[in-house]
Amino acid sequence: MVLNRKIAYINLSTREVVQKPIPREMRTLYLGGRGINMYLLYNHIQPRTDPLSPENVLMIGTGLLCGIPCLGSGRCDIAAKSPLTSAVGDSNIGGFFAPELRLAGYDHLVISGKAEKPVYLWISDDEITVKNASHLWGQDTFETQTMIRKDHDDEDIKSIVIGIAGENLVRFANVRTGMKNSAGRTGMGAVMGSKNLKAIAVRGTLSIEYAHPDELLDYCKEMNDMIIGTRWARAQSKWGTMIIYSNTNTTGLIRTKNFQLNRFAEGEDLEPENIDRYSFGTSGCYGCVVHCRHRYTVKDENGETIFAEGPEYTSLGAFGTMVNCPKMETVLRANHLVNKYGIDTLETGGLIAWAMELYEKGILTDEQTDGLKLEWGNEDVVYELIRKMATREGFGNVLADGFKPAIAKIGKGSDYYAIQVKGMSNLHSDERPTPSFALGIATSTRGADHLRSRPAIDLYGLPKELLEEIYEGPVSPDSTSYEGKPRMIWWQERLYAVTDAIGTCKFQTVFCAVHAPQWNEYSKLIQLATGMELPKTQLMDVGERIYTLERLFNLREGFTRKDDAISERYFKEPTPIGFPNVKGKTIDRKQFEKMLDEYYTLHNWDSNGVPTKEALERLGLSKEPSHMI
Amino acid sequence: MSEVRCLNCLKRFQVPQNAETATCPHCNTKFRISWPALGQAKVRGLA
Repeated sequence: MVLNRKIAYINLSTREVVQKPIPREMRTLYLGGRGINMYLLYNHIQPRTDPLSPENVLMIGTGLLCGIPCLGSGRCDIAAKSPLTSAVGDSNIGGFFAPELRLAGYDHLVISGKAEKPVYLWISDDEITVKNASHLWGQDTFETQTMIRKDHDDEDIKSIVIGIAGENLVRFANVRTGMKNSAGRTGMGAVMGSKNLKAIAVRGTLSIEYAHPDELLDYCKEMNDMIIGTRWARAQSKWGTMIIYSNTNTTGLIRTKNFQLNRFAEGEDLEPENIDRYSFGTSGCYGCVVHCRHRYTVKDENGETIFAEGPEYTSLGAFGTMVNCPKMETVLRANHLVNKYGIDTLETGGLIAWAMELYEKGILTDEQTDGLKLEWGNEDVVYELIRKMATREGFGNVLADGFKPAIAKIGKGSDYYAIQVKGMSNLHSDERPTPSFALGIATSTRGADHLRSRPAIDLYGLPKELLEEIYEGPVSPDSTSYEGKPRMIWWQERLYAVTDAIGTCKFQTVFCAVHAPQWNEYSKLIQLATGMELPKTQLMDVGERIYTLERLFNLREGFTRKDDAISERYFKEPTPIGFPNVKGKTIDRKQFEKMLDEYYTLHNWDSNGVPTKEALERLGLSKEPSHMI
Repeated sequence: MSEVRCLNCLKRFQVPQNAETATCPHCNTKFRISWPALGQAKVRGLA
């Protein structure tokens, strides 16, 4: 039965491995994946722990529904205290690693301490050993995976690995698997690097038994039909998440030149249709029928042909609009570089764009930038800065610690130009015309983040009645309105928390598609897969519980209401261009604070964003940390 | 014919099959069109 998977505690300092069952109660309260990880985060990490010290604890968690043949169910959550923000650190990774880990008998790994020398974990059907990784240290993320397979003479081994960015403790280093799957945000790669942990490799051949396998299979087919029946998924399967660009750039919702413009007029080559010049097909993650990943070839900056996968919409912004580079080729090359080095595409692009604006304004000089001309549109500078950040060389070392330390080093009012929340960069979306999106990034528990709560369907002008049905309360159909938007964010937060806890793909729920699987579908999948009866209301409580625990973690680390904030530029600088409903917009400060008040009330938190005693008791959190596992 | 949503006024309108451009009849904004799937139009950008 799928609920018989274990949790393993691995101490890299002592090489001790302890395996335990996961209590059924944990499953009912937190499901798996991000849910159980957040419980572990709150219970195993002491307040004010240095995120790059051996005392930080790294959690790997497969989703409760990992392995079912639908909804991209092979997702895995990786969590720790973030070295980038010192807040909740977690990131979600697709591909094929999580199902393999489940097949090997494990759903959760809790990794503490620090190895004396570089190691990797080798997990094979109920056995976990710590192996020497000195030959892997210094290798990029592609080569590392290849070498592990060769070491064991098994092409079916799946690994999550770090690149040299993680080894160099770049605070936004990511964790990678396959050609492009990444646990991108919050610096989980740096946490691995700080433990001298180069990789976790797994090969599993155990069986996974489901409670009602025949009905589950039939229902999975229904779910796949449901998602591929949406216009969103059909378009995504053709051009990947890049299709979002057509909407946002045409409308005027895309940050260009850091924050100076909101439409990239020269960006025609970045339109997703242009990937057809480079792509030779698409592939997908485990259990996915959409297949949104392009496989492409492009010549790198030295004229060598590279084979890569992607890019995501995120990279179109990071290495296209934000840095004013108009060519698809630049995005494709830079996308490959960040994957190779193991560094977060979004954070990298955000920092480079910020640096370019500082250079333009004379706040950064040639002396500080190692002589690099940080001019808009200079693709060679983009490639060089990616390399310098990953290797912590020269000016790259200033940026490699993220916004807050870089602001402290550069000074001269550089903080004003940084588009970040809690120290983490924002996606290249321009939230000035969309109050719901602005509230979402401000309140995200892991820093500026579009994946914690983004109600992308707010842009569709849906009928008021449909929105009220989805969000169970009044929500304005006008994306520029503030009315009802806290309710949207609250609903999406809980849905995404549960999506991350069951291990399915957010693009296959109510994110960009309206009529996609959500609460009732999740409830049925859980019942058919595990036998657990968790109706919609109970699942919503699970989402609330996960999010509230994350809030408690951040409060314990010293975050307050003042950190649920967006850059001053949102309030002061109106959008210069775009369609009439988008142009000339700022976020209204008073209305923003009112939204925040309403958002806290929906969560049953007080006016400072602290969960009330009543909220904690209702969710069973009043005795946390409870140390159940 | 296929239906798209105007990104300016957000009203839906019909696009002839395989058309490369289309103009929203409600607000006269002209768009370039592409076709991700048979019978499904998508706004590519401003014309």
